[in-house]
Amino acid sequence: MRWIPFLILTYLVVLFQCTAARILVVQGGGFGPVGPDFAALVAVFVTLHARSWVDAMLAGWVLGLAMDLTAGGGAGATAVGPMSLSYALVAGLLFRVREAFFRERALTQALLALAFCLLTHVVWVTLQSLLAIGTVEAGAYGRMLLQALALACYSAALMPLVHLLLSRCQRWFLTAPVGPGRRGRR
Amino acid sequence: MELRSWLSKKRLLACLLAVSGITTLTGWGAAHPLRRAAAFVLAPLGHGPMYAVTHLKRQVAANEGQMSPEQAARLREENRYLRWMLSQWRYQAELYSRRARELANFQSLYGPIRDLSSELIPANVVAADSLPYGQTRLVRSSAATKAGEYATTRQLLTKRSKALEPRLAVVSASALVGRIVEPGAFTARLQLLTDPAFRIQGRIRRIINPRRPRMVTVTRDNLPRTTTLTPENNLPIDDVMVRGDGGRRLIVEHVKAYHNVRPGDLVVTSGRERMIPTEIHVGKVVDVQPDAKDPRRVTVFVQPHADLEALREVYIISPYRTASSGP
Repeated sequence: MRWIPFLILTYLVVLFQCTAARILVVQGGGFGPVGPDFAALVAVFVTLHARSWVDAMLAGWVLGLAMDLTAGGGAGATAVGPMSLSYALVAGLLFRVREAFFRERALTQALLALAFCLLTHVVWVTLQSLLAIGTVEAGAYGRMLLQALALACYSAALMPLVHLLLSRCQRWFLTAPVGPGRRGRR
Repeated sequence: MELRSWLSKKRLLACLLAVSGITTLTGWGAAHPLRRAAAFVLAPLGHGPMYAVTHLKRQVAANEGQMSPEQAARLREENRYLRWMLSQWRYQAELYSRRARELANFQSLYGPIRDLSSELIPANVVAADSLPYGQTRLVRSSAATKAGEYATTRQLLTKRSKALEPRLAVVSASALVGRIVEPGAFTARLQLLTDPAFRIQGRIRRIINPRRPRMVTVTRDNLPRTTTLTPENNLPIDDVMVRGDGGRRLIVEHVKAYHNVRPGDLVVTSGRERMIPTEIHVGKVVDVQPDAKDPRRVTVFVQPHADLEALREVYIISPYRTASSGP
């Protein structure tokens, strides 16, 4: 991993998520607004292409922390840390199972993004609700779980596009894949 | 060398996960300073994209209001009738306003001074929430804010045909948009009205429509009587709790059914809170549903007066400190 460019990418992704990505937010049926989680999509991309599980988990932790720091409300959202924990752990889990999939297929990417978003957001909603116990009612918790499910589906639908865009510029923040370089091929 | 670097990364990851665990358990204590630091990094570049998004959202909202030719014709006819009515009422209003001016002058000379001793701090919305579970905005202001302060939009009402002088200070607050939950020196987090955690004491003002009279129950001589709502008995419904629904609307629960609240009625602030000691528009009633648990009560759904999706400029109401209010 090239960490400095990756940190710049994280900043840009979070800035986009907090500002321009508002345009993609839609009102869900009865459970409030739903928007894609671009940081999760970047985490899935990095996990699919990282050279080691430590790199994947560290990248997940950085992206999760950025989300934690810019999350404001809902479920009492008082704690910083649940998202970085869940991003890192789910990225590690995804790294373990990635060899079982063809990562270049759009459907695979979408399914992996769905699983990643669903797991991380369910963990986040549950932890924040537990930490704010007494202020979050069961109905509100259920509504946020539905929101998390809708968010995961929405993000999964955008994953192939994000994968395509990131694969064009992956050499800036990911080290070259293992194998003979230019000099070796000569 | 390779093994050493691998080991150090592993240890770093373990440390970072431990830090996350600790900050999760410490909750608000660690979160507040960390989020404030993050806001300083995020705020400088948030202006441009937020401007583009809010501009686009306003355009979309304007296009959503398109209507069919029949509806437009009906509306034109109705407008013509209303214009005629307006000219009649304008004449009457001119008479009343002249009398009101005379009375106001008299009151300002001899009556007690009544002033809302607050400062309006202008602020710009520079970023939204990264997650959709809450409804907050990061605002950037030129002065320090305090938790619990409210924010409004501002509307300058004037009949002058010439441009007003700059630096005029007197303006009327237009609509409440939320309250500050994470204060800071130059950035603060604004909790919108529609956030599920937002609560405020409100007041419902019923609008009388002569074409559709409504029956209400009033207490007269300690006895409840059912009568038509008139300007004389149209008292505001006080002390209702208004909360956000997490979507686009507000909810007022447990309103007594005999008040006969209808769509079109207005919800305003109670004017009793220290931070906002005046009535400010909150929204308009759009739906009234019977309470599932108690048939004598209803749940009122309110559309916020301000367009929260395209919120760009806000004004934070900062009450001046007085000797009695303490430090």
